Amino acid sequence: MLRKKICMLGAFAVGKTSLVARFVRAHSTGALTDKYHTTVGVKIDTKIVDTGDQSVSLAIWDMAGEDDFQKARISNLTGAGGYLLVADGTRSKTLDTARSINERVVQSFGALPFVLVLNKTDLTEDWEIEETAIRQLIDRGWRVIRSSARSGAGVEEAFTLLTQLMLR
Amino acid sequence: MSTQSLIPQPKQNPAPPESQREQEVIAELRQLLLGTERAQAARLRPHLERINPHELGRVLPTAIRLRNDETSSSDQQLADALMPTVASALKVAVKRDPQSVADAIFPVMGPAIRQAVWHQFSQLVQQLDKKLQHGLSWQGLKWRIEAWQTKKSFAEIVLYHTLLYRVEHVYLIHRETGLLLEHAARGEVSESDAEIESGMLTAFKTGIQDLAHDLYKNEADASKSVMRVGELEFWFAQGPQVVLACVLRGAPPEEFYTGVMAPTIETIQRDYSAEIDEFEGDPAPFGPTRPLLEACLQESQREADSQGFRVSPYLLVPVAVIIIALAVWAFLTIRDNRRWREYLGRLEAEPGIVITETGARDGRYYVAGLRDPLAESPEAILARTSALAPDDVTGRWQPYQALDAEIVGKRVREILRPPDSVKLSLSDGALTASGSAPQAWIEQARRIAGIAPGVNSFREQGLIDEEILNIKAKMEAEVPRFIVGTARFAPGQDEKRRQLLDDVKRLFDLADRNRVAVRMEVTGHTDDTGAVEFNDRLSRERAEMVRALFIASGIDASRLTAIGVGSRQPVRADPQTNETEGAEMNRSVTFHISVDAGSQSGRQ
Repeated sequence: MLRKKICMLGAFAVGKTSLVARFVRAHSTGALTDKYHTTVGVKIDTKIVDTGDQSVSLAIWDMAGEDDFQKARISNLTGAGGYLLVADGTRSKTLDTARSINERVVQSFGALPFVLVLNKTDLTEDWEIEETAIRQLIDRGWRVIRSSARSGAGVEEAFTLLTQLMLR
Repeated sequence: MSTQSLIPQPKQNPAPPESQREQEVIAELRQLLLGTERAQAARLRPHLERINPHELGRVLPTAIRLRNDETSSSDQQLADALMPTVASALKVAVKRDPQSVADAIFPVMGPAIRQAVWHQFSQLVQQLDKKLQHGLSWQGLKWRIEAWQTKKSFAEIVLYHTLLYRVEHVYLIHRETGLLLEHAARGEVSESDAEIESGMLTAFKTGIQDLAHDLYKNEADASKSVMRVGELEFWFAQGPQVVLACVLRGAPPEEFYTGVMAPTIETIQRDYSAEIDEFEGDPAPFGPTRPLLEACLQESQREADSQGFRVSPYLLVPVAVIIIALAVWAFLTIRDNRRWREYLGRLEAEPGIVITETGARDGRYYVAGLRDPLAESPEAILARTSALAPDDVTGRWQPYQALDAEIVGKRVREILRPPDSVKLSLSDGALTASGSAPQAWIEQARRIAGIAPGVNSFREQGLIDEEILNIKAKMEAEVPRFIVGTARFAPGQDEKRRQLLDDVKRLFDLADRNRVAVRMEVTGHTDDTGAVEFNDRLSRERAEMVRALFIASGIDASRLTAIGVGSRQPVRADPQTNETEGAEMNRSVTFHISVDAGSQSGRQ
């Protein structure tokens, strides 16, 4: 089975860890590795994704989120096959952060497959990100998926889409 | 033109004659300068164009030998390269001609098997020894307490104290992605756990290396790194594209890196360079590295086993225990056997018991034989005389009639039930009875004594009818009294006189019937008043009167004598105490009866 490393990138408190937790659900070692977040700055989970043609074992590197994406942590991206860029739909500023993170990744590693995940769709009343802004990104070739770590909507799709992109 | 092919010819614009001339000069010069070498080169060309197998065959051994001499022993490249071929060649050889392979390795089989057996055995002894050492020693006790205090298992504590190091996990990690290529572990580890661990280790290592680089300007070669956390150590050997990570307990020596990890990562990096270059996330091509990783799962104990076969004092403890147990067992067995023999001796000596068989059955002593019901029971003898437990002895006894004097005596007593006044004695089958007994018993004894087994004859020795003695005693106690100065019974003694006559008749009647010689002496007495001569005569008259009375009643006169003793032998020697009574008692006659049963025998 193929193995791929992917990274969760995004501003602080956009729901990266929740997305991973929702995706891998009751993974046996999920609880065990949670504490590494605070100690190492990274937490790794695995999950097998079936894209239809092929099964892939994903090693999901979940970086502790801070708005400032430092060099020390960008080294963790080394060897990643792709990444999920996560933004919080209720805070438009996090989309800006996602954009700048993406720029830095492209600078360091070149163009890698990625999917923009707009999280927290369950909070419709607080939704801040304009549809036009999203449109623009899609026009630039970005893949965008709306998700809710709370309801689970879009979570599976985001990871599966990224996997398919990486296999292409 | 032999040189034509060797001279580059201009392809365009045919050269002017001048230039052609120049070319010819150069060619001539070349021929002059390099002619010999060119001929040699022409000769060598065919050799270079195809490799001659004969040539190769000649140089191959030399080449291999040279390679072995030149390179260090740690370079395994040639061996690695040849290994698959040699292995498959061996397989083919075994398949095609097993006999010749067997013949070839036969000489080494025996020593190899011996060595293997010896190795196993010494390992077993060592293990046992270690177990005992840990189980029995003061140190072992301390470790048990430690295990109890730290809530760890005893095995863990022992491992912790005796282990120099032990490699528990080996990961082969793709350096760039941190993805797991292959791993080996002691015990079961799930694939996804290993993946996570591999990723985490890479993250750790990268983080720490970055830290070392950024903060402390460490530019040193990072091919080897070691991290230590508590009892755990993480050793990394880094190749250009792959990382070998070992998780281990304890503190391995540097040789573990130089001798094990570094060569392993070098081999993998070299042999799998193509697979590593092409790695796109599929770990399958790295499956064959597993044996290499497993070879890294080493462990080393603190106590070197190189001392070979060695027995510690701790091993002597159970041996001593066994010896003591054997000694105790032997002592108890010997003691019990001695007791058993003593008991058998007692049984043999016991009248009425005959032993026919002895031995041991079902872990118990066994004795069988004959026993007279009158003999003492073997169980009672055992309980009375031996320390052996009754449960340790089985007895099987058949009843019989013994002829031992003691048993015969018992039996006779059982049959005859003699009164206490009779004394029975047995000698060589002759039963003798003496003493006195009721007439009925005496008559029964005469009838049946001889019937009893073991009795040949019955003798009576002074055996007297009890009644004779009773009458004798009764009469000798009688004191018939007389009127003062006369030989006439004092008044009021008629009944006594009649009784005396009945008694004396019965006495002599019984004596006759029992053939017992009975004689009676009647002695006359007086009080101490009056003259001695008178008293002597008066006393004689009193005795004679009674004798005459008895004769008159039919008693043979020869069996009766009468004497007078006057007042010399008074019945009451101290009449003063009661003068009237004492004097009266002294005016009397008394009787002395002698009984002689003699010896008579009655035969059946």
